[in-house]
Amino acid sequence: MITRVSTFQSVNRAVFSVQVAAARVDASQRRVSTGRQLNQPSDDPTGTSQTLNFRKRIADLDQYSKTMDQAKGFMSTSETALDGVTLLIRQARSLAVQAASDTISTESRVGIANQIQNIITQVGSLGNTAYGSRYVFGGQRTQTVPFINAGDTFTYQGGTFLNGDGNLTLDVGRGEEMVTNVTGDKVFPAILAVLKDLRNHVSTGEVQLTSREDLAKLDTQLGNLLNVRTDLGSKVQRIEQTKNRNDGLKVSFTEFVSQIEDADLPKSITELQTAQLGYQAALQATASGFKSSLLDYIR
Amino acid sequence: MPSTFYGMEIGRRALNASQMALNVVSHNMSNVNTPGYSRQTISLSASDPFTYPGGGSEQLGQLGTGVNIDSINRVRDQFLDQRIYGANSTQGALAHLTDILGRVEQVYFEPGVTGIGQLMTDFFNSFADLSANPESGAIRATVRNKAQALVSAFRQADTTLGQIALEVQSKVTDKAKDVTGIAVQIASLNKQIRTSVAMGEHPNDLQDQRDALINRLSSIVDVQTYPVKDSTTGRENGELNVLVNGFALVQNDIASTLPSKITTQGGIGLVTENGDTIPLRGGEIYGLIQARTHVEGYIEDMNTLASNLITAVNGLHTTGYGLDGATGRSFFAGTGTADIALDVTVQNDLNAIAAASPLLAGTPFAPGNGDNARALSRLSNAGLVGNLSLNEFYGSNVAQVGADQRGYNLQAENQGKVLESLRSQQATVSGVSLDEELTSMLQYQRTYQAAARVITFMDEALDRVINGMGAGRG
Repeated sequence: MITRVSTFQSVNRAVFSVQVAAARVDASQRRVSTGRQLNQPSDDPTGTSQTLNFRKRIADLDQYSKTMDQAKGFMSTSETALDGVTLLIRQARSLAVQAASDTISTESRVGIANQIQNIITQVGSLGNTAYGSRYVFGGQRTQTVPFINAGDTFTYQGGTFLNGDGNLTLDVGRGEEMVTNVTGDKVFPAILAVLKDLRNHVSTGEVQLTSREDLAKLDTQLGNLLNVRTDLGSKVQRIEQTKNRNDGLKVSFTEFVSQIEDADLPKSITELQTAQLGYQAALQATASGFKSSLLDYIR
Repeated sequence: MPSTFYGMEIGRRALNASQMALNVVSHNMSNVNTPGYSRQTISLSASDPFTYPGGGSEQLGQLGTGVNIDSINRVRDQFLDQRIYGANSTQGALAHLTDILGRVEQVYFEPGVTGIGQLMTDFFNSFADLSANPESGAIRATVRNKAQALVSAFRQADTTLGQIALEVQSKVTDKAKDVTGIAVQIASLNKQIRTSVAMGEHPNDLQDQRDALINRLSSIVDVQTYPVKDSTTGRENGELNVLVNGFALVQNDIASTLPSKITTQGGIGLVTENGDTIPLRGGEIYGLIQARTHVEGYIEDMNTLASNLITAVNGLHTTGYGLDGATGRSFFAGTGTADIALDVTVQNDLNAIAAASPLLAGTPFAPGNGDNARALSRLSNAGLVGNLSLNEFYGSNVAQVGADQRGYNLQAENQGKVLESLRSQQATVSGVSLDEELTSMLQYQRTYQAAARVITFMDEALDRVINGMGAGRG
């Protein structure tokens, strides 16, 4: 059976095919020009949900890195201060060795005692080290000077573990906490006490006590300090490692997001060319469809 | 014995018929671009024969009397029309669904950095920053700014979605008015057609006009049409009753007003003044209401998100301590997307942001305590809506919006093809083909010439008989 074709019908058909082809060109053109295949949720609903999740995870990783940078700065400042304390104790120790000699003159002993007093003052001020506007050894009481020196007595007024205001804890990962501080009461009072004993023994000339007890006590303090510093150091190291791992994760998450959101350019360009070809074909068909009519053949 | 001029009469009839046929061809060609026009054909038959009363001889039988014009008919497939009406309704609904949901999609700004997803993440992450520096006024200000941005985004989304839902009613009112207007025209055409049919005419063009109106109507509401039968003769009287799922929109020559009061109770429909429901299954009005149902669902989801956010944040915030050492204060005011705001205290005093966790009894307030801020930042990944985090819940909402829109887009695309194919079929049956008409034109032109020739010949023959024969000549 021969199908009747009306004149209007072929016009409609032509317009419809041209429109379909044009819409296809438009869609591929948008993909190529924006470089994205996911411009709105309906482009890929499942992909949208995935990409939102990955974007969130990337933002979380960024935040953990930012927090870890803060923690690292804080702990490095603490570490540097404790390094300074270590150096000062070493100085005090060599002074103690000098003072422990029987042949030392009274003048020299007084000089050494004064030097030890200086060291005490310096250790005390290291106890008040701040990172930005926060005292690093004061626990949660970051706005209060941790050590005040009245007369010959250092008083610690920072937070303590026992009181519940000692720890500065940060989240460095999902469900991963890190205590980022050392409270001053765990380090400084003991050191200051040993140094004061040393100073007193040196100034009163109790040489035996100096050599018998003070040197050993100084060594013990050095040992304690080393432990605290090692603990801080290992935390800083852990942060470095975690950050590296996070950076790696971030790269792969970003890759996922890109796979979902970004257009595969070679593929999109090929699609665009195919669509343009289809469009041209539709136009061609439309133009040639109206070329001939019976009107051309009758007088 | 036929009359002397019998042959001339046959020729005259043939001339008439050809001329009428040429008029029909001309009418068809003139309307080649008229939407809704159905091509017309002339129906011819041999006119009643003349029984020759020839002295009992049976050899002559009947003598032909020429051609008769029976009627001019339009070529139309009524079943195809019904299918097109149905496809129109589906297409009309989908057009509005894709249009409205397309606008809804833009409200979410996803995937992107300005959407609520990112703003929520930023808000919770600012609490993580605060936990590392709870004393800092600058970071407290950042927390408040991020919260403010989130609040604004919720309010804006609520307003925009609400606006879209609200517009539906006024659009439905407009569409219902359109329907009533068309119904009035159909009723008046019914009357004209009935009169015409009663006089034995074929009101082709009026019927085309009526079909075109029903075609438009079927885009707006899903309609059913029934030809009316004359109660006495039992034959179709030309009228067409138009029903919207049981509601008589046009009955004989009376049109009813389509109500515009929306209901979604037990399916989508419109409520009449009597309180009866006219169910709808397709058409633009159906699409508008269906889209609104979707939008209301999205608003509800957004509200669930906001209220869970408010409850969770306030729950922790009220237990925490501000930098001023006070406790028991909310962070957010309001209960959902429509009224979410910053708590007035937080709004006016940055120190009211409770970054510190509860203290041990007897311990003085510690400004460096950021544990509550830390707990607040953790809400970001906590299962607060069912077992989903706020971000996950939001992500699934956005995906739902996208999936709905995508589904309707695909349906609309397919429906477009269906409709195009049906229209093409209709054009195959009813559309005018210029080539065909030109051929007919040639055909009837020749017929006309032939008929004219018959008359000329008869004239010449009679001339011979009358003027060239018999007595009294020269």
